[in-house]
Amino acid sequence: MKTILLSTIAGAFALVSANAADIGQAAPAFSAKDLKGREVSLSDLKGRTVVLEWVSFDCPFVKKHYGSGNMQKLQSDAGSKDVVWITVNSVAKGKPGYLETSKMAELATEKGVKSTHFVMDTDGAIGKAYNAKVTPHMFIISKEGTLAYDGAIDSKATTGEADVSTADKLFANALEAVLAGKEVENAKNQPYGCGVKY
Amino acid sequence: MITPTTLILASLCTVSLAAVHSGKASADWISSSRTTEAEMPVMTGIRLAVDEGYHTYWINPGEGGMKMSVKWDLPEGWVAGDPQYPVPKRFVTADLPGFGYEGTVVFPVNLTPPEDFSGVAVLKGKVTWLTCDDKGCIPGNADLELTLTEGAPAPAAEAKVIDAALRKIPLTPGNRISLKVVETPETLVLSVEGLAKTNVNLAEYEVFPATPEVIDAGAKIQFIDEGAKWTAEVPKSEYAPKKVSELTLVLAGKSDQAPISLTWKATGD
Repeated sequence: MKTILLSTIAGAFALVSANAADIGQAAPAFSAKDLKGREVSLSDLKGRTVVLEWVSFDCPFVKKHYGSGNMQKLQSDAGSKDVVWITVNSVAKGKPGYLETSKMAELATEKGVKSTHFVMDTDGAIGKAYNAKVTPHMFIISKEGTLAYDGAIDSKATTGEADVSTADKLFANALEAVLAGKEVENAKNQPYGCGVKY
Repeated sequence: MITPTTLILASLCTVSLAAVHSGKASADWISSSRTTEAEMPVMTGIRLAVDEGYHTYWINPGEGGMKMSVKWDLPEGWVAGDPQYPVPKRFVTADLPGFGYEGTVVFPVNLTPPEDFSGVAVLKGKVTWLTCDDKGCIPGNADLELTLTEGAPAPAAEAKVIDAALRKIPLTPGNRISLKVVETPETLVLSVEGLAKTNVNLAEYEVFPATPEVIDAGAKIQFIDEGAKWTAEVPKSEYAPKKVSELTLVLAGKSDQAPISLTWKATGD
């Protein structure tokens, strides 16, 4: 009994490192299975730029970016530049918006999600390691594995699709800077959206 | 749970003089007078009646949330002032600290007709807001209309509602009361001077940061009496700029004193 318990704890720690996410510091390690059953491990992605996007499809701020096609466009643009984009859903079982893996996969297809991986973080371990607060909350991890961006998708904290085209593209600009090897201006800013339902 | 039907309903905008229900609130546009004359401002109010169990947001919504906003469509020459936001309350939604309103809230808006105003003016405003509870957030919007006719101003039925709303709008005191901010690595030291000879007891005031992303939205701001000034040390927002350059606080007394608004701006180096 004791052995099982110990190995469970050890297993849990192996999934996510305990470090908090700070700009310029090593991004918290994690590994998970995506909706297609593929293993995703941050340590295997060294040398590639990684984007983390927190999602919950019933959030009006998320709807703004999927309804306008902005998020899918950002995802496919990033994909064409060899960026690994991981969409993360941290809704706990029993919380509003929670979906079984198969239902989430259907919804992701319906929404036209173009990310590289879609990960169910039902126990919230990845979300808490990064202190993901809202959906959408965006993170960028550099090729060296350090956190390069933690913040909003853009500057207009509204739910209207019309605001997408006129907002400052905080996240897109940050990704462009990271890919160009430049320093990110405004690397940490307050994300807007709906609280993550841990 | 959002069903497809509620989504469709929420996305429809109805032009109506009566209250429009959308998301989890009803909106209407009331006026202290139905008549006015050229260049004579009229105080009106955007009224939101939020469904029970939900709240909507202040000018600083805190972490998450969205403030109420209006896109105007006014006849030529008319000028709308910025909507004014009454003193909010604090709440925590899905672990995120926020500022806003439950129940009915009225946002006063001043409207000024042009110098050649005559006849009838139909004013339009598209109001958007967000209502949330612990389970989720639902946006609402309404295309509201207000008709004002040329004539001597006279109190309308809703004038009292607007008067009551104005008493919750923070006032800017004269220069003798000032806010100063000193930055430390993790905190801001706030001090208010100019109250020493008044009976204002800031320790009893509830204090709100109207400027977003400067003070940690979840931190209580408690002033203490240091004789010549009142001071409070508060944790910075993790999203605070590298150098804080501006801060507006709203201070609301527990009794019937008018709420006040104090602004500090960094002076050039």
